[in-house]
Parts: sequence; C-alpha cells; structure tokens
Amino acid sequence: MSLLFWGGIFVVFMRSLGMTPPYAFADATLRFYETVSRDESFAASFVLTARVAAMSSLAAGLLGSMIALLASLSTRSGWGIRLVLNLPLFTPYIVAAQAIVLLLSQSGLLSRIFYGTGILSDMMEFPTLFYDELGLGASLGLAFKETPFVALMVFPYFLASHRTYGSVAKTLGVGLWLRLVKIYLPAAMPAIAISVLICFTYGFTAFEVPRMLGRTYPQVLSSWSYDLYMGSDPEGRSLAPAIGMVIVSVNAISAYVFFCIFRRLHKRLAITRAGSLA
Amino acid sequence: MKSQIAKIFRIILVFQIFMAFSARAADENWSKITQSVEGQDVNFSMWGGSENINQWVDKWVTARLREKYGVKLKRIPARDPADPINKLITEKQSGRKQGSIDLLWVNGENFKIARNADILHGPIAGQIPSYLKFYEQNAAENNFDFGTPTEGYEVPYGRAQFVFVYDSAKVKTPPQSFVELERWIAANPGKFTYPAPPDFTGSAFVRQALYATTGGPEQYMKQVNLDTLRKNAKATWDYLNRLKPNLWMKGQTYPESKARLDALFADGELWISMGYSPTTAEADIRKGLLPKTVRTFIMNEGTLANTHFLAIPFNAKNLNAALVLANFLLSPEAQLAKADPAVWGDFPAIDMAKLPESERKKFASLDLGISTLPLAILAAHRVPEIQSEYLVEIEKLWKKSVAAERARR
Repeated sequence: MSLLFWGGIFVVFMRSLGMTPPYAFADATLRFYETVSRDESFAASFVLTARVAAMSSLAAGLLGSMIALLASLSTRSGWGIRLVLNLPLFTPYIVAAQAIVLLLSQSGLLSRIFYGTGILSDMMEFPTLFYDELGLGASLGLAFKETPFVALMVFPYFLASHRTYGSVAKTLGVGLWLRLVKIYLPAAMPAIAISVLICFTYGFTAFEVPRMLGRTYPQVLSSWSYDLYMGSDPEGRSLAPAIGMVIVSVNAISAYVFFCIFRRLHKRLAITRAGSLA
Repeated sequence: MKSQIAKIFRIILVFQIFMAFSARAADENWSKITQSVEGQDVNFSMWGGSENINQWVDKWVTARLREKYGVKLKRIPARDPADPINKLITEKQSGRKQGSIDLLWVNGENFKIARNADILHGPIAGQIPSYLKFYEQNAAENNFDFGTPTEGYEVPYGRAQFVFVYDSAKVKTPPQSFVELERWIAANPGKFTYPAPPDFTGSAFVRQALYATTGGPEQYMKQVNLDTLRKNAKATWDYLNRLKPNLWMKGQTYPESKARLDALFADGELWISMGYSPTTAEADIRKGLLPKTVRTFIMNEGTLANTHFLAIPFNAKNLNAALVLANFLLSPEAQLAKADPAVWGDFPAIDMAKLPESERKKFASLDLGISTLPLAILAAHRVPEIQSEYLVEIEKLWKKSVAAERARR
C-alpha cells in the first residue's frame, strides 16, 4: 500500500521535472513549475480550489458534528444511526455529483416536477444552483458526501462522553450548553479536527464534483491538471504532474501546520479537562 | 523508328512480366503470411470507450479471424488513445523487443508522436493486399494524418466527419453558415453551446469557427505559423464572445464533455448539438433516447473530416498476425460491417470506385439511418484538419480569450 502511495508520488514528481524512466538527472528542469505558476489562471484556480476545500470541509465538520451529537444524545447503541450514515459513503463522488445534476439542474427532476405541476411556466425559470463563480455548488456537492463521514468519525466520541460524564452531569442538572462546551466538544474535538482536515485535503484534490458542478473558468487545480494531461499539448504530460505536486505540497503543508497547532491545543484541552474534573 | 517501337514494346513486355511475377510473388508472400499465423495471438490495442465498437471487435471480428486464419484476437482496451503510445515509448526506452501490442488504432497527434519517437514498424501499406486493391493510394486523406505524412506507416481504417444535430420538430430551418448560426443563437437564447476545449468535440467546433471567421483552412495547411494564427484568431474570439450572452447558461460555463452536451440535448435544454461522426445521433435515436425527428446538418463552409488508421508497433510480437488483422479490417467485408449504424456507424475508408459492382451495391443499400446525411453531400463538404501545433495553441488561446473573458470583465 505505502509502496503504491510513495511510488505514485515519486513517478508524478519525476514527471513534473520532465523526467521519464530511465531517470536521468541531467534532464531535470523546473520550467514546468514556472509555466504553471506564470499562467494567468493559476491564481484564480488556486484560490477557487482552496475556497472549495475550506467551505466544504467546514460545512461538513459543522453539519456532521451536529448530526453526530443529536444522534448520540438520542440513541443507546447507535447502530441504526451508523447504518444510515454509512449508506452515502457507498455512493461514489461521481454518482453523487451526477445525482445532484439530475435532481437540481434546469432540466432536472425538481424542475420537471415544478413544471409539471404548473408552479413554473418554463423549466428554464428554475434557479441554477451550481455552476457559480464562487464554487458554492461544488462545495455543497462535496459537503453532501463528507457530512456523513464526519458524523461517523465523531459519533463514537460524543456517544462515549455522553454515556460517561455527560449522563452523570445531566442527572446532576447541568444544562445542555454547559455540557456541550465542557464535556462533549472537548471529547470529540480531536476527531472533529482530524475529520475536517481529511475533508479539506480531499476537497483540495477533488475532481469529479467540482468538474461537474463548477464553471469552465476558473476551474479547480485538479480539473486544470486533467485538461492539460488529456489535451493536445505534449507539454501537458509534465505540466499536469507539476500541478499535481502543487496539490500534494499544499496538502502536506496544511497537514503539518494542523498537527503543530493541534498538538498545542490538545495539551491545553487536556489540561482544562483535567482541571474541570478536579 | 521500328527498332525504337520494338524496344518500347520489349520494355513494356519485360515490365509486365516483372509486374506479373512481383504480383505473384506478393500473392505467394501473402499466402505464406496467412499460413504462418495459424494458432497465433494478435493483441489489438484500441480506444475502449465505446461499447458498440468493443462488442463488434470482440464478437464479429474475433469470430471471423478465428474461422479464416485460426488467429486469436485479444483486444487491449485503452482509456485514452495516448496511453498505448506512452507505453510503447517506455518499451522502446527500456529496450523491450517483444512488445505487448501487435496492432494499434491511431491517428493525428498520437501518430505524429509515434513517428517522432520511431516506435512504428513499416512501411506496411505495400504489404497489405486489401489496401493495394481497394484504396486510393494517391488520396490526400490516406497520405496525410492531421497534416503529418503517413508514408505507409499506417493504413486507413475509417473516416469521421463533423456534423451538427438538431430536432426538426423544434428547429424548422437550421442555420447553414456560421453567420446564420450567430443569428439563430440570438433568436433562440440559451439553446446552443459547445463543450469546453480541450474536449475533442468542443475543440473541433472552435477550429471550424476559426476557419469560418478567418477565411478558410487553406492558409493553415502549409508551414505552421503561430503568429499568423494568433493574429487571425482574434476575429474568432470576437465571434465566440459575441455568442456568449445567448449561449446556454449565458456562456458563463460550458459542458465539460460531449456526454454532457448529449445529455443537455436529450433533455431539451439545447436545441442544436454536434458530434464528430455523421451518425452521431443515430444510435441514440434507435435506442429511443432521442426523438425520431432528430436530423443532422452541415455548414456551407464545410465541416471537419479526418481519417483514423491502423499501425504496427516496432516490437510487435506477432507481426504476421497483425498484418492479417489489418488486412481483414480493411477488407470490404469488415468496412461494410462497421459502417452499419446499428453496429458502429464508422464511415468506410475504402474507395467505392475500386469495388466490384456487387460490393458497391451492398454499401449503397446500407441503412445509415434517418438522421444521417447522404454520403455525397457529406463528401462535398469536407474540410481538412490542421496540424497539432495549431490545435494546442487554439486550445490555450480559447481558455484565455473566451473562457476567462467574462471573469476578467
């Protein structure tokens, strides 16, 4: 597994330097990175990608945590909830994106229903809910898939903290808000944060959803990379991997920064929790 | 004088004897080849994105190859036509003598890359009886592939031509030129768009807009001159940007693929669609996905046409079997079979004038479908493809000058 992972990154990295097997270091060049970074659309693509990744992961973190919290407060074992949450995870992203298009486009199911029942006089009056400049449609599409993932990741922590300290505090008359701040959130925070990080890094690389629900321009980095690789320009075979390496680097850096912040935060959380228990 | 005539006659005689011998030699040579292949495998690498084409090769071709020559055909699907080329380049670099591919379906840019990387065996055209017998050896369509000379390293397998698609129930008179198209779009806002290049179909549409707005394709056929293109193409970007406000989604976005364009047309969001095959709509009409009133049309300026080819890699393990398969795929029998829209609908590359009357009748009586234009009209409106350097530049410029245009404003 890790061979495939590191091997893949190695091949892409070599390709981005213009090298193909057998690798000769004399051929190495940074000009593909230069071409990519100097491209007029680079900044727009980068900002859009970051925005889509951030919006989708934060939305998923918030919604997923809320669902998990409500579920853990209202269930005993939680297997039913887990089952329901597991279902969307089996849908591939491309299917989810296609489903959104079929459901919400101007000639989609909802539009047809409104038209058929006479609410709309023309199907084209149906509002376009994606293809927007800010990437809201793409973010929602990703969040739709990521929310159950977050919920599943954090559910056990909410459940465990509720069964132990939470229910005790409740019988002692502690209100929901106080329990949330003092018990549930501290217990689940590491899981929430890691889930959001995973969603962010995934969102930064996501291809199908932003491709299908986003605009032609600006496009997310992965979509741009795909066009370059599939396009007629032989240079694209090295430009696309260069963009790939930009994506990998951003994800590696954000993971590193996250863990640095998280380690400190975690210590402080552990101290406050110990303090509040004492 | 007399002796001169006698000399000429003698030369002709000698020449004819030579020709007869060489023809016999070629025949003998070919029968040796066909005898040598029994029990061999042949690995046919082809783009695998169409279920119809895959089925035809897996069933029809495979069965006949087994019956006639005892050759076992193995189809090697490629997700992208460039994949096998990259694979062969890698095999060449690593010195692999016994390759994984015997016959290759190729054209355009990939052929050019293959020739530059010297990964093709050949020339092969002179060895393939079907080609020598039934194909026009002097036709530019067979000797050039997107501007690259074929030099016998690939043989024509089929042809494609770009057409526009419309529903005659909704559109009474489809536009006949790019000027009329602009007017039609203005009169029917939101009902037209094209896939965003570098999508294959969208890119072809933009190339035709280039021809239409800059005075035809001839000027791009000679030496590649990107400066001329950049200067000329401003008129094209003006044209395409003028269309924008009345395109689907006001031109703020474009379908990302031909599949998406097809879906929008089938859903009625679009009234005019397009495809790089004269039978592009036929299969969907027969499946009931499109209404029976759907028809195709072409522009007076002509539409793009290209030929796709077969080639043999430098390290083909089963060289003779590859020749036998290529010969069979070029035969009237196979060309006729794949021209049937119910099977594939690929236009034959074979030269009708060289066929015996009986065979020609079979092609003429082929039901190409209600939506397909007559072969003669299509043939009279073909314009050639341009070299790939232009293609690359057009795709880059489109993104900058058309796709990004609104965002910048």
